[in-house]
Amino acid sequence: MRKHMAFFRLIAKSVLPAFAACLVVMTAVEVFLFWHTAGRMDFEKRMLPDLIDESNISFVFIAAVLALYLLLCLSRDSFAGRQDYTLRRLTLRGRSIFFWQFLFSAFCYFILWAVQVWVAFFLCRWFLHETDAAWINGQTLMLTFYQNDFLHHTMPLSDTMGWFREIMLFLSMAFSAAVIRYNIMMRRNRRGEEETPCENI
Amino acid sequence: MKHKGQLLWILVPVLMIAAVFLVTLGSLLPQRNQVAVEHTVLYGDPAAAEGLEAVCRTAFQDQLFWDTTIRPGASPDVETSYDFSFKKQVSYYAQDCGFNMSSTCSYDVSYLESVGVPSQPLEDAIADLEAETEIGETKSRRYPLQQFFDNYLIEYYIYFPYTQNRSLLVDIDEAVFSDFFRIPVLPEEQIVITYDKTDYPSEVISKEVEGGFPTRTCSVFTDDAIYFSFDNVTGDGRYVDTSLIPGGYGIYRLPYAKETSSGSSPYYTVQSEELSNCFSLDPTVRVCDLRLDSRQETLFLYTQEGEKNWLTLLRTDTMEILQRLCLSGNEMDASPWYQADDFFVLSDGYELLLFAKKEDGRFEKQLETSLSPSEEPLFHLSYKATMAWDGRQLAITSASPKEENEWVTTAFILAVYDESGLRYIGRYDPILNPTARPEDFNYFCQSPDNALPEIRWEVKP
Repeated sequence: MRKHMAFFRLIAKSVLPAFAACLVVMTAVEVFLFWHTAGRMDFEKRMLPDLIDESNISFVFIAAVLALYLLLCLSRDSFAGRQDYTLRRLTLRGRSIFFWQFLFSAFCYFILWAVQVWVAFFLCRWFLHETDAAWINGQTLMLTFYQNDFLHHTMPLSDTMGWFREIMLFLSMAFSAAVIRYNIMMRRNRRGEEETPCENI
Repeated sequence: MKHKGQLLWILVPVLMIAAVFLVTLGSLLPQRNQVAVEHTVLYGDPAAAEGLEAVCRTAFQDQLFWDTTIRPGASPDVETSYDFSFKKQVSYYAQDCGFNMSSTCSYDVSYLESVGVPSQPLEDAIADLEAETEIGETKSRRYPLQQFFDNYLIEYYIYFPYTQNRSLLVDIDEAVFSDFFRIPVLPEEQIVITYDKTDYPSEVISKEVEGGFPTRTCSVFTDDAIYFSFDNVTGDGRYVDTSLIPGGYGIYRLPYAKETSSGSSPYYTVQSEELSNCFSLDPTVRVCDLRLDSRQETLFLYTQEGEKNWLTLLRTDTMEILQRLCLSGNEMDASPWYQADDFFVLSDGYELLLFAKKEDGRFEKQLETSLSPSEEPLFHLSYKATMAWDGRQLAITSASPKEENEWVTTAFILAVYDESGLRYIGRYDPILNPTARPEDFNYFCQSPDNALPEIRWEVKP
């Protein structure tokens, strides 16, 4: 178990700093776009679902999803050198390596999703707080999560099929990232074996 | 110990993710059935509506449904049940089903050819008129309709109930109906042809029939037949000659067969050759409406006979008269405003008359009152209404007129009458659309089929 956790930490260390930066940038850009669009729109006519669409925060989220994918697939540099060596000393089977990589990728995607849910949720709450009370009621926030496609995808509420769809989407992205990363690693290892004899793997 | 510390690496993110989703869901989901009902008293005492229950259905994008039960009274009690449907439950505007006889008001050559009537007389008339009209003028001329055809050219349509709220136009053999309903064109009936040569190219601008026939048909469906009749008066008030119809004027019965075995949608076959007159009427009686009770046992035939409106109750299977009842004078609408199995309401827009069934099964007038307590109407109750009668009080709901800045509303008006007149009227708005501007149309919650709330009086112990 120890070596498994060590390996997990190893992958985490290689990706987490960039991932954290990605989350911060995503949040900052979304907040800015939302705030900027809200200020630009005619106050009388702005409706929350329209505002979400017009602020284009859905594209920021898509960009973050793709950035995370690239990060998970290609952050090979961190494996080179000392960490690569540590990894080889861990004597892990290929199956375990793949499993931990997949689990870590899935974690990253679910964290990204959760951060997006909260950013969207708090932006909506902030907007409703600023809006004239005559235009909102006790169901406005919930209805907004059905009225706007992007919000509905991030938070499908009663739509069980929606939850299933989103979870499958993120799991398959994580799986695909893990496959690519594993392949890259294996190829490098084979090359490495030719150059320097290695104890394990 | 170290083991546990390492497991935290996995547990903490899992818990954090779960917490984010749970907190957000916990904040959003409880809103789903928080339908607030805005309540405005327009007249009287809301306590008069105590004991009433109105169920208001609202939907959003055919997937979210709210059934809001409102118990009006001094302090209205509101309860909402919410439902989400994975499959879109597409709602349509309820389409009318029925047997329909209609005729066009404007005849042209191609139409006459299509129904097999010689078009030469009409072509000649148009050519004559064209020759008479000078360049730069417009000329109209009247021709007797008899000059062009002998019998009224009537088109027949039957719309059967199909899936929920949809109707199905069924093919019928029009020749059988044309042979059956041979109604000679009245000599007074005229067609006005107008020729215009003020512009190039010159053209016939209208061929309008004054009057026209038929103007109104009414029909009901039982499980195996359609009962229908038509108003035997032309648009300008002359009785048509119905003596050539087998059995004369009256109620006609058209049997049909319904098959549902092949798939879920029903399939209908009309037995046109069995079309018959099942209840003969004096040709001076005007049929105004025909209704059927929910058990399909009784036909309600509303007629205008001389200066009076009458109701004839008929047994559907034998056409035996169960009751004849003089309802009112002609000033009242002869068609019921609302029809239920055990009561019906007539109105002329100012007064209302309620007839209810007594224990012996006969109908009797039980309420007569004016709609509004003042000369000027306080409000407008539309023709589309739902009603409930508890033997003493009549409750009416009708769609609420839209208020200023309101484009779509789920609001309705509720009025309560008893023998002393209007007791209470109020507006109830289950607010789901606080921003009801036209550009927000996609975001509106609406009543499926624009249906009115169902109302009923609670049964008193």
